[in-house]
This record gives sequence, C-alpha cells and structure tokens, in this order.
Amino acid sequence: MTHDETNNNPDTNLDASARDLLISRVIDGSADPEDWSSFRALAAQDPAIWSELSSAQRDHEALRESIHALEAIAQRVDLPGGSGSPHVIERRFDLVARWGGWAAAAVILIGWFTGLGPVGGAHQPTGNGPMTGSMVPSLKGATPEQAFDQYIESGREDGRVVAELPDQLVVETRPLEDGTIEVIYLRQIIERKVLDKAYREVTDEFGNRYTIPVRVDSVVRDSSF
Amino acid sequence: MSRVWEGTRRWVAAVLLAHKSRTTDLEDLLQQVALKVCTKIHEVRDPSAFKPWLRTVAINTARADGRKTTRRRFGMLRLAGSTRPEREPEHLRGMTLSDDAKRVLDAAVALPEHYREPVLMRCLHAMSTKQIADVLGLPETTVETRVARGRRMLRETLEHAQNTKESTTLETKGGSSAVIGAGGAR
Repeated sequence: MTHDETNNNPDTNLDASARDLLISRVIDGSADPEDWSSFRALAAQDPAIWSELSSAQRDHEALRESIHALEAIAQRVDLPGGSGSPHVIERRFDLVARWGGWAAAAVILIGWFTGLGPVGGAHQPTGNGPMTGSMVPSLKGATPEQAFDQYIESGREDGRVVAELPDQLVVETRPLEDGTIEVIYLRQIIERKVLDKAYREVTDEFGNRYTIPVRVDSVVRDSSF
Repeated sequence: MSRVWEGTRRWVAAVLLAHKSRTTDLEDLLQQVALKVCTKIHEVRDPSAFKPWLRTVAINTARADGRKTTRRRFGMLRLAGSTRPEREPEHLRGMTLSDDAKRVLDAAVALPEHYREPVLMRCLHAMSTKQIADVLGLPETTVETRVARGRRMLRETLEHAQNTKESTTLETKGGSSAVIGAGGAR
C-alpha cells in the first residue's frame, strides 16, 4: 500500500477526492444537503461507501478518545509564574529535588573541608571506628572517598541522607597521556531537611525574580522519584 | 497572556504530539514551550504571526528534544552496576486509553507529515477548519482536503494492518490443519 498523492487518471483522482471529502464532512457533521445528495448518489453506484463511512467514523471516535486525553494533559500546563497550579509547582520541585540535593551535598562537603583547619588540630582519622557526634575531627587526613563515606554514614544516622542513587552519570571522559582515562561523573544524593517554611523563586513576564511561599499540600510527591 | 495560552495550549499539544518522539513525555515538552512563550514572546511583532510562530516553537522544541533523546540514549555511558528498566514507550504516557484508541493514535502519528497535524487538530474539541488553517498558514480548502485524505490514509493503514493480522492467523491455522491432514493420510 502506498500513500502516493499523484494519480495518472484524473477522473479516478477526482472521484477519490470527492469521496474522501464527503466522508470527512459527514463525520464532522458539516455535510450540507448537497453533500448528502452526492453521497447518496455515490452510494447508489457503490454501496461499499457505507462500509467506508462506518470504518472512518469508528477510527474518528477512537482518535477522539486519545485527543481527549491529550486535552486533559494540556489543561494542566500553565505559563511559568502564572496561576501556579499545584501540578506545575510539583514539576518544578521535581527538578529542584533532582539537582538541589547535589548542591546541598556540595555545600555541606565544602563546609566540612573548610572547617578542618582550625578544628582538626591534633585529631587523626579514626579509620573504621564508629562515627559519633561531630565528624569534623575524624576527617583530617581522610581520603575524599573516606570522607564521603563518613558523610553518607553519618547522614543516614541522623536522617539527613535518605539515599545515594545507584546511577552515576558520566559527564565527560577523556584519555590521558599515560594511557588512563579521566572520567568526570555525577553522584546523586537524596537529602532530607525539615523546614519551618519553604519558598520558591519565580520569574514574572517582565523577567523580575522574586520568592513566594510554597503551599505544603502542593508538593506531596508520589513514589516515582 | 495567560488567557492566550489557555486558548492555544490544546493545539500546541497536538502539534507536539505530531512531531515528538514516542518516548518523550508530552507534558514536559508543553512546559518547555510555555517557558519559551514567556521568554521569547517579544520576538513576535505582528499579532497575526503569533500562531504560526507558536507552532514553529512547538515543532522545534519537539525535534530538539528528539535529537537530545537520541544523544542521551547512545552517548551516555553507564558505570558498572547501574541498571534501569526501560519504560514502555507510549505517545500519551500516564493516560488510560482503550486498545482501539492506542492503535488508531499510533497510525495517526505515523501519517505523512502534511496530514498528521490537520488530522489530529480536527479531533480537538471545537477546533474549526478555519482555526486549523490559521495555525498552519494554509488555505481552508487545503486543510479540508488534507484532513479528508489523511483520514482515508489512516483507514487504509488500519485495514491493511488488520488484514495482515488476519491472514497471519489464517496461515497458522491452515498450517496446523495441513499437518493433521498429512498425519491422517498415513
């Protein structure tokens, strides 16, 4: 079967177009009395057109069901910074949740390392010893991997770290001169924080940025994250 | 501005559906378009050019996302131990549709490009041929012809698929009976 629009026989082409148009108008409810006369005349010559009409009507109804679903999706999407439908806010929180956790982890790690100098003093890393209280003393001299593991372990204990996602996303790879490969990758950590109030930043249609409080009932998430 | 968006987002969704890849989430794309409307609307100087401009934005968004999806699929390495189940591709993910609706939608989005958009838009609630013509920048008669021809193509595609399915079933049944017949003759 082909969908070739060209046809060497102009009469056949005209008939096919007229037939398609009549069926289409009947389906849309836009057929006028003249169209109906033409349709009946065609049907008198070729009763198969009734079957075509029936199939076309069935296809149209099935497609309308899908388009109805599409319209329902479209109704949920407002302009950014507009009416602020809960769904839109939830979507934005999804993005914030995906990347904000990383930023928080980075900030926390930076805080630890910058705090080592004055506090670390005479303390040495405790190796495999249990982590209690402040982690700062035991981080002195630790490798990044040990420090990171301690952060995860301690974070889990006090409920701050919920999980580290198993997917580590590769950002960049490049070969080094010694034959090894440098891999820049992203580790993803989900953190939990209890806040008195939450705000989100929005941009209005003039490009002005400002913060507004977030309604708590609008950020309840399902388990798909 | 919000009112204009509310009056256009349904057909923008139809344009996205006509051009997006099967695995892309329609709602994500629609949000990207909404964001672009806010940030780039100043580029439109003539109000009559708004609809064709918006359609172009939607098509470009869908195509750019399609390219990105392909790059992501083939360009991203996974480190050892990271596995993720593939999602079943659907045009309208998350929506409950009958089998008939899914089958017809699959065939509709596979129509040649000229016919896809008009056929989908004609199913939108209360979208007239004139409104579709305004969006597509085509004469009304052309839109009507494309809708009619697109519907015929859709019908033929579905009938062809149905006939193929039935003939395969018949062949299988015929094959079984031939074996039984041969066994009986011995």
